[in-house]
This record gives sequence, C-alpha cells and structure tokens, in this order.
Amino acid sequence: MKPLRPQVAWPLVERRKPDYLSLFAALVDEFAHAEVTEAAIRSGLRRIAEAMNAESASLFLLEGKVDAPNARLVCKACIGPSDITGLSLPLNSGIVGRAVQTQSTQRVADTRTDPDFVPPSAAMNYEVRSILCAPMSVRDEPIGAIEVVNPRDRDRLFTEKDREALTTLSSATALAIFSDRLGRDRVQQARLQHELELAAGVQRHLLPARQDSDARVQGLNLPARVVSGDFYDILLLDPDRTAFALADVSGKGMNAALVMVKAATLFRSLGKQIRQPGKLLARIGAEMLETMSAGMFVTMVVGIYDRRRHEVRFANAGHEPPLLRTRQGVFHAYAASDPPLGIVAPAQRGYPETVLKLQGGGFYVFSDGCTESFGANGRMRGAQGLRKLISANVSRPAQERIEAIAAALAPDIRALRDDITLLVVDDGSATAGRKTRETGVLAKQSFAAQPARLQAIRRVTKSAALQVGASDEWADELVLAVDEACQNIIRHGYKGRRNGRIELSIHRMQKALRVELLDFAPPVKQDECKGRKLNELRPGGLGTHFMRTLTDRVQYLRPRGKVGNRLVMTKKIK
Amino acid sequence: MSFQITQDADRSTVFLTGEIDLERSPAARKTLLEAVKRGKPVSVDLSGVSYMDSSGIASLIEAYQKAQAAKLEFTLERVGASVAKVLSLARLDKVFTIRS
Repeated sequence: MKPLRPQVAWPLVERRKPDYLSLFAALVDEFAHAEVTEAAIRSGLRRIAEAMNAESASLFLLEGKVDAPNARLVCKACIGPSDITGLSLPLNSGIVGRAVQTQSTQRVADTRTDPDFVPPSAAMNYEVRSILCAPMSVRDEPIGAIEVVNPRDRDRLFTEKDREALTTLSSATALAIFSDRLGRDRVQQARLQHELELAAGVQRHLLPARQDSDARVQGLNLPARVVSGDFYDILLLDPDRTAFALADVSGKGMNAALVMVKAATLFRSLGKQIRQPGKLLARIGAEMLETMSAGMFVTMVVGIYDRRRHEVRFANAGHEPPLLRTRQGVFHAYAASDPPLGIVAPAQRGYPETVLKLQGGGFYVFSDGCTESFGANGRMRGAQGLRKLISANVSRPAQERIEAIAAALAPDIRALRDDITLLVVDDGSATAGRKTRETGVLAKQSFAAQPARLQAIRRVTKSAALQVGASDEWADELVLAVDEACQNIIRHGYKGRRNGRIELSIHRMQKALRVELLDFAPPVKQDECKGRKLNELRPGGLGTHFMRTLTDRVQYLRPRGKVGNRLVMTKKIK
Repeated sequence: MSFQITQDADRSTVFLTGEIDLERSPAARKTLLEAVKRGKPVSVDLSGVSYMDSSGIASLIEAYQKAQAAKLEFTLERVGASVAKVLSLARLDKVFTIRS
C-alpha cells in the first residue's frame, strides 16, 4: 500500500512555537509532590498534548519485567477524544511496545505503513494517523512510555523537535514515577519494620523474665534479626525443680520466628504437665510434626534441674551437644542420639534421657550462634572457643557469667550474624563463697513513653529509693537522674512517638541502687549521649550532665533483645 | 495548663507552680516568653515549684536570653531548695539573678 505521507519528508507547517523549556519546568513542578497521582499524570499529559498540538496523549506503564513472557503495557492515563485508559497490550505489540523494547522514541508519520501498528477497535471510531511515542526508563530500567497521537493540524507531522521534547519529557515523568514508587516502597518498608518490631515485642514476651540473680538456671537470647528463631524458657515446677528448654529453629527470619513461637508455647503448656524431659520432648515433637512446613525442623534440649539432688536430667533432639564443665575444669559434651523435631515421628518411649550430678560444675546449653561466631582473629570460635569463654568467666555468678560470655561472643550486636542463645544450670556451690551483688528488686514497671507519665515514674523511683533508708535528698537526686533519662528516651529515642514503652526496674544491690531503663526505640549511639559543656549558656543538653552528676555510674548496655536501648544507672547508698 | 502573669507599672511577674517537667515546661516556656514580650523587667516567682528538671531549666534559660537581648532585667525570686539544687547542678546559680 502506498503511504499517504512519506515517513521522512516532513512538510513545514507554520504554527505557534512551543516553549518546551517552560513545559518541562511545569511538568517537573506537577510531579514535584511526594505522590504522583493519576490527576497529576493527566494534567501532565494535557500539557504535553497542548504543547505538541496533538489530539491525544497516553501514558503506559510496564507491568512485569521487560524480559518476562507475560509482560504487558497498560494505559494508566489518557487525554483526548478517545479514552484508552485500561488498554493492556503485550509488550511485544504496537508502536508503544516497540518504543519500550528498543528504548528509543518512535515517530510514525503514517500508521498504515507500519506493520507493528495495532489499530484501535472499530467501536472506538477513532482514526490514528500518526504517532510519536517515547519510552520511559530510569537507570536503564524500562517503566513504560508516553505516546502522543495525531497532530491537530491534519497537514502537519510530528517534528524532530517534538521527538526530542517528548524524549526529555518522558524522562522527567519516568523520574517522577520512579521517585513516587520509591517513596511508596519506603512507606511500605517502614510499615513492615513497625510490624516486625511488634512481632519482636510479642516474641520477647515469650522469653522468661530475667531470673533472680541467685536462680540456679539462667538464660539469655540475643537475636541477630529483629525476630529470632531461637528460644529458651525456664519454668519453676516446684521449689526444688526447675524445667528448662533451649531450641533453635532451622532458617531465619519470620518463618523461623513463627515456628519458634509454637515450640515455645508447647513447652510452656506441656512442661507443667509432663515432668520427664524425654517424654516432654517427644510430645512437643509430635505436635510440631503435624504443622511443620517441609524442610523446617527444630533442635531442642529440654531438661529439669533438681535443686535438692544437684542433678540435671535432660533429653536432646538433634541439638548442639550441651556441655558440662566440672568443678575441676573438665568439659564433657553430650551429643544427641536422636533427630531434631519435625522430621520424623518421635518414638513412643520418648527421647533418651541423661542424668548428671553437677557437684559444683555448670551445665551449658547453647545455640549454634555461640559456636559459629567469629573471634577477634577472624576465625570461627567453635566449641573450643566457647569452652574457653566459659572457663574464663567461671568464677562469676551464673547470671553475670552468661552475660559476660554473650558480650564476648557479640561485642557489636549490630554485626551479629546468628542468634545467640545461652542457658546455664549451676548449683551455686562453686561460687557459694562469693555473694551475688544484687539483693532484690524494689520496683519493676512498664510505662507509656509520654511526658504525662514522668510524674508516675518519679513516684515509683522515689518510693523505691526511700525503701532502702536513703535520705530524702539522696532519693530526690536519683529521681531527677531517672526523670532525665526517661526524657531522653521520649525526646531522642522515640522522638515524640506516642506508642513507645519504657520499662523501669530498680534493684537493690549490697551498697547501691541499680536503675535499669529499657526502651524499644531505634538504638542510640553512645556519642549522642554526651551532655553539653556547662559554660555554654543555652537551653537543652543538661539532662545527661544531671544523670552523670547525680549517680555514680551511667552505662549504655546491650539490650537483651536486639531492639531498643538499655540504660543502667548505679548510685551508691549513703 | 497555663501559669499566671501579673503586671504592675514597672515589672511583670510570672508565678510558676507545681512540678515543671517535660509535661509542663512547654506551658512554662510560653508564659515566660509572653512575660518577656511585654517589655518590662521580669520576675519569676518560683516559691510554688516543688520540682524542676532540665526541661524547666531550659525554659528559664531561653526566657533569660530573650530578656537579655531586649535589655530587660530577669530575676528569679523565692527559689525553693529543690530548684536551687538543680540551678546549682547546671551551674546557673551564678548566671541568674536570684532574690530570696
């Protein structure tokens, strides 16, 4: 068929000279908002159509990856006599498809001569004579195209200048759409992060509360991610017997965390009824098997410590071999003979049990994060490295000991590669001569991190301070220090967010009071916690100075979970 | 809650009361700055203040600095023991003019 108009010979047509620079500025302004709405796109298209004196303009977005067989171009906005919004074309069809696939602006003077042209349906009753179509891409990633159709003047064709202008305008539009998507992604990420923090909060509450310092079974968990696949639990069965468990779920992240929640819940509910570790483990295994996803499993040690007999009875389902360090410093490892939970149905008889007499030794159960962490020399610590750390800290009371071991395993919690979970059973006889420093909890309460709650925090603190027989003045000093610390959490930690929490606990030590404040705000860098110089006269910056002046020690410690901050202030009782 | 300002021919007096902490210091700050704006020497009566933390001190510093800039006298009056201690901790007892 003979073309109506040649594709290369462009007739000169007099018309108002379009000001593309102003159009570009107007378009950028149109898209300068955080959200690129359909109205903004339509308004932009209208400007483009007017500037090019075109009958219609449309914006297509790519759905699916450019190399995917089912990728399509969908018209998201259109202005002109025939609205094609919603029109969906396979990526390999039409002029628009060619523009996106070749990443070059297509100028088709006569659509009838172009084999790729897909005419609109007859029902639309609209003749497409001529097309100019520019691809949109950011960083070489195609995202769609803008197409203008039919110069209003039937004798005119789209010019080279129009082609250049549409190419530039498409780039501006692509950038706006890309930024908008990025913004939405960030909002989505922030929402997901918030949900993860909530999940971490739920998970943290599944872990047992910090044990009294003289408790014989102590544990801790440092999650490598916001949520953890490890867990431990400690259940007081009666005054003489304590049940404990430590488990590691295969995999990481939310999947592992959900399985961990189930294992933790089963231990807590069944552990009170079944007092034989082997049978308890088998029962938990049977329940887990029913719902476990393929490929996931749980390694777990369950045990009971009998304080009167100085005896540990435990069973092991595929977990790292627990260690007994005898009073004489000899280690014994107890490898599992049975597989992890969730792989095969446990034997009716239950998992085999091992009974140990502690006799001044300590029994250690730990997750593989403890042995697979890297030492200062860059080498994996292995079981041998963990043994060294245990021996180096064996003179400390059990609670302090596992905290010291965890601190050595994870000097920078932000760099933690795997969850660290550690549990120790210690009959106390080896450290009997050394008194633990903590002698009781005076107050433990959770508050909303809001200015209106500061008064209540001050009341609780003062009441605790007066319980130890301190003077009113001494108590007021502690109150001011705690108030200042909480202010910092509210203002700088939560930055005024109203759904934060502050957990306050006040412990009586032998000669001091120890105040611990936990929050769940993003970690605060220590160098952000320096007070200002007092010779600078300006509002603000005094709180940290007050805290340091009014107490004997201020420590920013690693929180037990990865989330939040842990501030400990110690003040000697006078 | 707001705090009272009284005014006579040659002075504005702000009466702060209760516990001036992060919850109440914004209202204290607003009242203090309002008093400075009136363009007369400012007295701050602290006899009714039972507790003040660094946020309350920050409000006093800001008002003091505005008064200095406007060349207005700014004095603290009837300062109780607890506030005096906090001022001393911040080493401001030598900066402010304090009248008992």
